[in-house]
Amino acid sequence: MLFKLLAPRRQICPFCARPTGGQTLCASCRALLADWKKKYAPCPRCGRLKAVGDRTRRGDPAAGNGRICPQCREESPPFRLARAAGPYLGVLKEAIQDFKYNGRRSLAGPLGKLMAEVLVHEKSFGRPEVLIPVPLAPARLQERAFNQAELLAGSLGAVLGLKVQGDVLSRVWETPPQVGLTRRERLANLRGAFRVLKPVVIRGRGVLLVDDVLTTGATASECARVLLAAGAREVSVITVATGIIEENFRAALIAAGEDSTWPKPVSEPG
Amino acid sequence: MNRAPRGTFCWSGQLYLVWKEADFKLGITHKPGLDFSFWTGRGYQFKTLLATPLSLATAYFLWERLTRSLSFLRTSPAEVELLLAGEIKKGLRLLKLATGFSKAPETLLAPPAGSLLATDVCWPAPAELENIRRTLSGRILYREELDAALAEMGLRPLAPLEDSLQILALSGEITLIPAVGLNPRGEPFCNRCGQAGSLKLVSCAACGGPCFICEECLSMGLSRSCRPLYASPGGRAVVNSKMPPDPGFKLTPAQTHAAAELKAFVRRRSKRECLLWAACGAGKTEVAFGAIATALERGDEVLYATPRREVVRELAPRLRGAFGPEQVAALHGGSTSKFRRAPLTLATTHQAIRYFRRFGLVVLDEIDAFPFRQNPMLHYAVDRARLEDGQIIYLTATPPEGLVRRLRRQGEIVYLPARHHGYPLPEPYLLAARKLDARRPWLVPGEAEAFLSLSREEDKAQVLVFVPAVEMVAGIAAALAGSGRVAGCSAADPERDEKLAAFRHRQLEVLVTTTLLERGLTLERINVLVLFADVEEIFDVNTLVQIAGRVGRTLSYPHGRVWFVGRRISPAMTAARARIREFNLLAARRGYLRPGTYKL
Repeated sequence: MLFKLLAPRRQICPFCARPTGGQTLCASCRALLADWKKKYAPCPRCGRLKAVGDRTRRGDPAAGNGRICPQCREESPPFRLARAAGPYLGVLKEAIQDFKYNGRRSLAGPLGKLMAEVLVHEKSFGRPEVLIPVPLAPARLQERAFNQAELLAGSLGAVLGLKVQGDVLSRVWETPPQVGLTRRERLANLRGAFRVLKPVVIRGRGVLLVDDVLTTGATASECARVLLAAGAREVSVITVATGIIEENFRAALIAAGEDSTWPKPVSEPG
Repeated sequence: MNRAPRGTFCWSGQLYLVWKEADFKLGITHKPGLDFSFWTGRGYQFKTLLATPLSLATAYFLWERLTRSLSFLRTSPAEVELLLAGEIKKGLRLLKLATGFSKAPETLLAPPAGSLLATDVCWPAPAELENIRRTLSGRILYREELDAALAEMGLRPLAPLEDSLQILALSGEITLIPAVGLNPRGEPFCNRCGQAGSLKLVSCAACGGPCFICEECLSMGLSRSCRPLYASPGGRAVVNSKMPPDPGFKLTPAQTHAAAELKAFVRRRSKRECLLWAACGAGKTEVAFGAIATALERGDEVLYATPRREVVRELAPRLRGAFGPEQVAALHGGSTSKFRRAPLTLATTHQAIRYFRRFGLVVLDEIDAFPFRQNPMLHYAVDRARLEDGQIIYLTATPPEGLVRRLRRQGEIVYLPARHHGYPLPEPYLLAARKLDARRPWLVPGEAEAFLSLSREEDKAQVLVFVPAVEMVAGIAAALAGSGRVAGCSAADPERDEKLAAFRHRQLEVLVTTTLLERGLTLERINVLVLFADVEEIFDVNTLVQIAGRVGRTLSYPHGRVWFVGRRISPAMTAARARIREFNLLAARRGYLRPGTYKL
């Protein structure tokens, strides 16, 4: 016991188990995460990333000064803005999958911190007043035993000093896998899937919606729509990772088989 | 409706008391109606002790505690109940203090009589129970895993699986334990992987209460307080007469001698553990075949476990060839069929976590390799996989210090000191080079250049250069670029496989690498140079022995050159050379070496 107190565990990187030297992540994982800012620029509205080097790039990409993506131009999303700590690729994708499908809950802390860093650096977020995680339907919650968004919101809230309002928004049903659907089809599928249980909490206030991954933004849009209809002043969205806009993003999504709600089989070690 | 399609079975249930005259028994159940009809059918009276549903770990904790106190006092039911009520209160208070379980129930209530009968109980057919019993034998599984195991055998039970398992548990044929249990002091520990150091208390949406989860064995399925593990020890089968008594292999004299000693160890059965300490590249696997055959012959099941998946893939055809395809089941994390039963199971050490008291003999290959070396969970799993009196044979070229000390006392170490070609192991040449500087890798000492040119001009051999850190690989590779076609390769390198293939095909002359390539690599003509060999955190005795063991493995080039170059000559460097010399001496003395190849 005394030994434990005197010799605290060496801090290791939650992503790759290398020593961190007092930081949240180790140097090489931090470098990997910082790397995307050189390669991608976020859409100022939905925060999804577009590879730089094509015409959308203007000014400092990390600040979101790129051009609005075609999807947001076609139909402006109901939320004010969405941002993420990085693309749903590589080390971040692995961490999210380990967190969500394997249930490695200790990752909630470091992932929450990553989101908090984004919030602090992105001035346009302003000062959110209410923290709301994207809910899971009761059956899915029972099955997974935890709501990944709620855990993330919890650790984000602990950093920001905000209370998480986990029971404001509820999910009535879980949508079937959305892979291969257009954004419009996804939105149609989602209509009515969320319900606001406690409008009093959000009336006239700025809401920050928390989720793990934003793929096309359909889930976030539907949540934002419902929250605004219930009287929220504005809704912004923060996620750990976000999708990448390709020329044909639908085909890219199908190719990658990525959908934030559908668990993929995770292979065992050994 | 027994199949929850995804997600895991969450056990929530009750604690009850049954009695017949002075015979009192306690039980826990997720479906009281089931236990009620089981016990009343046997003439027992039934009473629920706690009406509030408990999570499995809590229920099991109370059950253990109450069972202990029940053994002291057996008078009237009323008196027993009073005693138990007090014990439950004490137990729950202890849990609350130890774990912070705040939702612990405190009321002692009996449900109205007769309400139990109303629950739907679908009694499974005897054949179905038999299937489950047979499938679970020698295993420790989650309900979902058992489901998969039954499905793999084409069995689809009609009754809910957890109910059938509860019936088997009631009749004492299997045991039900919480995946994360609580010890008598209320401290959590993981029954799946054995660790007690770092369990997390989380709020669990499956059972609605606080739950401990274990993140150590997470990759093998989440272990948590409300999830049951079902275990059933396997027994010895009848004598397997179909087994060939000895797979015919041409063994060298050294191998024949070692194989005979191992066989004698298995046949005697008086000792539990034995170490086969082999020289690198001496063919230790074939030596174990005789021992495996001996164990199979007497009706034991055998587990051949190795930490590395590649070894399973590579060894499976060889074992199938030796023992017959039907006799061998090979499994690793990526294999599709994980539950086939065969006399000889070849598996990664991770897979051993699903076995329970099943194997009469466990052959554990490369105990010192990653990830087995630093993983207590794998030790626990392998140990639990063997029968109570099961034997274990460790195969390695570089056994850990503690194991050697323990087994040397018992006299159970078998040596295999010579390679098949009968030449001695190349002994490393130790060098201190002041010029080595970790911060200036481009200052390659003259010794390294001399080594490369010797290898190129005289030996016509490829060179593997080992460095202690990933960051050094690129720098050293660049510094050596003058001496031919050089590449650097580390674990994180995306082109790792291409570079390795190029090296194998002799398109590269020099490959700079980390301890990544320490084992499992056999090449025709190869020399090895270790730079910064004095960095003892990386290059300990065993690592250096393994590295030196890459050289001289084939008959076409049995000598090879090994140089350890450090800023100073570390004790590990000297010890590694001494160990290799010891083996050569032993081989020479026993007459395993070709005449004239080694001077005594």
